[in-house]
Amino acid sequence: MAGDAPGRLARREAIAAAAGSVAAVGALAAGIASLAPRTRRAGRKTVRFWHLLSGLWLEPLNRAVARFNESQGRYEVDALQLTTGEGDSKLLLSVAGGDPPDMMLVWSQITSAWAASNIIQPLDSFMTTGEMARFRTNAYPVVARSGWHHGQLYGITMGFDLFVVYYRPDLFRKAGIDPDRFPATLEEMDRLGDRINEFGSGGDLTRAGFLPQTLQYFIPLFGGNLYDAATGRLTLNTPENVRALTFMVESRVRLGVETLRRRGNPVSTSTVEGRREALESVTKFQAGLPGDDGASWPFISGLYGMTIDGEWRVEQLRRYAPQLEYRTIPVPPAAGGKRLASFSMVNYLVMPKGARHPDGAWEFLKFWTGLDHPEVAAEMYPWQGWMPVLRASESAPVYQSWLNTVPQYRTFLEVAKSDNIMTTPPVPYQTFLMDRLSDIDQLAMRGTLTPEQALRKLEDDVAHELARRKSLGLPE
Amino acid sequence: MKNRWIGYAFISPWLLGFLIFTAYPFVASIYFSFTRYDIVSAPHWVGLANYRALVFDDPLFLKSLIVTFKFALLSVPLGLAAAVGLALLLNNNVRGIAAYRTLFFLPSIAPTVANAMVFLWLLNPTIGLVNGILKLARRDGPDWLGDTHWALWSLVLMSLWGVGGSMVICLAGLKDIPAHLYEAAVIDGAGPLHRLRHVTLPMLSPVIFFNLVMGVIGAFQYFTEAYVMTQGGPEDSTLFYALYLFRRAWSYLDMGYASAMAWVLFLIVMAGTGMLFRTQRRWVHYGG
Repeated sequence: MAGDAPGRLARREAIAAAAGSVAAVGALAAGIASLAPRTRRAGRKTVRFWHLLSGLWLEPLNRAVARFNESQGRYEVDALQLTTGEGDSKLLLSVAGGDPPDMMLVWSQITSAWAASNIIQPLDSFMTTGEMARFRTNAYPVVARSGWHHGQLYGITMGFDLFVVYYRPDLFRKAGIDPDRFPATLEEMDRLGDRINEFGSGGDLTRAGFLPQTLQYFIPLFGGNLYDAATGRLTLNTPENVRALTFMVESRVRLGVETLRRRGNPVSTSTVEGRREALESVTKFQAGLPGDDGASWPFISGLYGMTIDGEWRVEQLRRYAPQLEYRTIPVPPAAGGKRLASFSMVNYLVMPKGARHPDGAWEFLKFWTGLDHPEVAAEMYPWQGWMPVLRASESAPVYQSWLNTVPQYRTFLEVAKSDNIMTTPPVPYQTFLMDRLSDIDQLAMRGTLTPEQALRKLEDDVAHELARRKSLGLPE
Repeated sequence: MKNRWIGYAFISPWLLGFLIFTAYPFVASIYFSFTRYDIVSAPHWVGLANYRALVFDDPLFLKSLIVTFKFALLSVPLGLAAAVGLALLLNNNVRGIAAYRTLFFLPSIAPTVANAMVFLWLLNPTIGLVNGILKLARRDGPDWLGDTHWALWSLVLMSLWGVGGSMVICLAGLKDIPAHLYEAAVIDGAGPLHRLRHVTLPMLSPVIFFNLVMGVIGAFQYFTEAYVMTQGGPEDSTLFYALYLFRRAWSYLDMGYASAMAWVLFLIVMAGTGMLFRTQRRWVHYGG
């Protein structure tokens, strides 16, 4: 028996050991408690707000939070920055653990999935009839349409991305093109890109006049969509979507063929191998480009003559390349396509289920987005260079003054008023769908599948997923 | 008796941690694998539906399994060969050997994500060092991480960067081989290759076996580099099982399904390890 062994500890040593353990646990608990959010000002409720903003956007957010905290005496917003990789999972765990934040700004196009799983709560119940009416009539069409699930509003847009053409007049002039006469169709723009392309002495592509990438940017330009809101069904493999993907592939094949010809390795586009080789050379050019952040964005260094990109680049260019001459213009429609069309990535403010201070979170949401005082929010939008939620913010004098300093931004506001904006389909498996879309995009861009085969594969993948969900009783 | 309780009191932080953060999730995941569970709502019993769906309705399950098997088949033998080879080289008594050992061991303790970022640059097709060197030899290097034929190989080769841990274990194993065995072999006229084949490798076989088992387990759990560097692409050519499992759990909110995937992986790893243990009688020598 161990208790009978010689040299056992005396009672007081045992007590000391136990006390030591208690002290260690106590110290740990005290440490954890010190990490808990504290109300900074007496009598105010702490509203915990999580976000993924960093770098360029962190300081404007902190200014907005400070301004809200100054503007009233009931709530104190405590903003916590999370990293992009951990944000979603941290929110899920916090809801499961019963200690979620009061509000979160999410980037993932995931509100439908979270709404279906009861992770977030509807926001329309916080809105007065007047607020809802204003939201429906004054918000940009894409904002008013986004964030809904089964007739309830689960996410309110705060910053939505639209995509237009950025182009470099200096490179146009260098290629003998008049920058004031931009092409009227996507096909003409594509051909124009050929004249802006540049190749090194060994034949390597050193500048792409125009390089189509990301299928969802092109689908709306051809009049297509991924989802039919009227029927609530996905529209993945439609003639418009096939045309969009075909356009992208053919443009890249042409660029690849020219690159290989200049390298002294001509290929034939009539063979599958030749097309693959051509596409590979373009993919390789793309993979070798520097990152998109800060001053390294390839457009700044002239690696692209024209590119389709989002509104946040305006602020990026103002900061990192203030002398660069550039213009923006809505992407011209494809022949037979739609004008002022774009894909939109929407950032949402969501309220997790179990939020302790939903009233305070709602007040902050209204303040920051401008739902209650658009003219106040209009002062804050330029800080981050984001699209406002309401048109009333756009027309505020302070916002107009800012627009005069960055006239390129007006293009985005012009597109924002359009009804031809496509968003991520609001289905409960939207993340899976967008992952698969990205997969078939790659398959087509590498010549592994033809556009028709690729979109058929997308349909098949989704059909498998739906069968799987059905067998598990998950919402379809 | 009192000593026992005092002992338990001292190890209680670890015991509690193990029970709460390892044992409970381990057991709970068996139950979750038979449920529909999205982390937030209460689990709903679905019987074998998750397992059935894995086999019949999920092409990516098989695809990710194949990718992982391929990776294990390539990376584990190569890693073992590299670890044994380096250990043999670093077992020589040359000037500065301690510095060499440190140099070769260092990469294995560098953070995985930091390694991944360095390799992203090294393998960049245009400005990367690897293709830069190939260019000097008038070779056009591939798009290492963007080409379906090369992406998996790139990760396999990159995994060799971290063989320092296995190398150190092999080195310790080499130090443990009695010198008299080599002396006897030399007296019998054995050359260096014969000594390696008939003395070193058999005497090192328990260490090689240990590294083999750990390597197989590690290969089946391979995640971070693929998550950071390729996100499963291009064309799902690096969609590792653990990466797909992670997506199912956290991106697609299918924790029940992901638990079923985890248990399938567990059974595969257990079966693989069991098979290795069965083969060890034939080639592992514990005679040292």
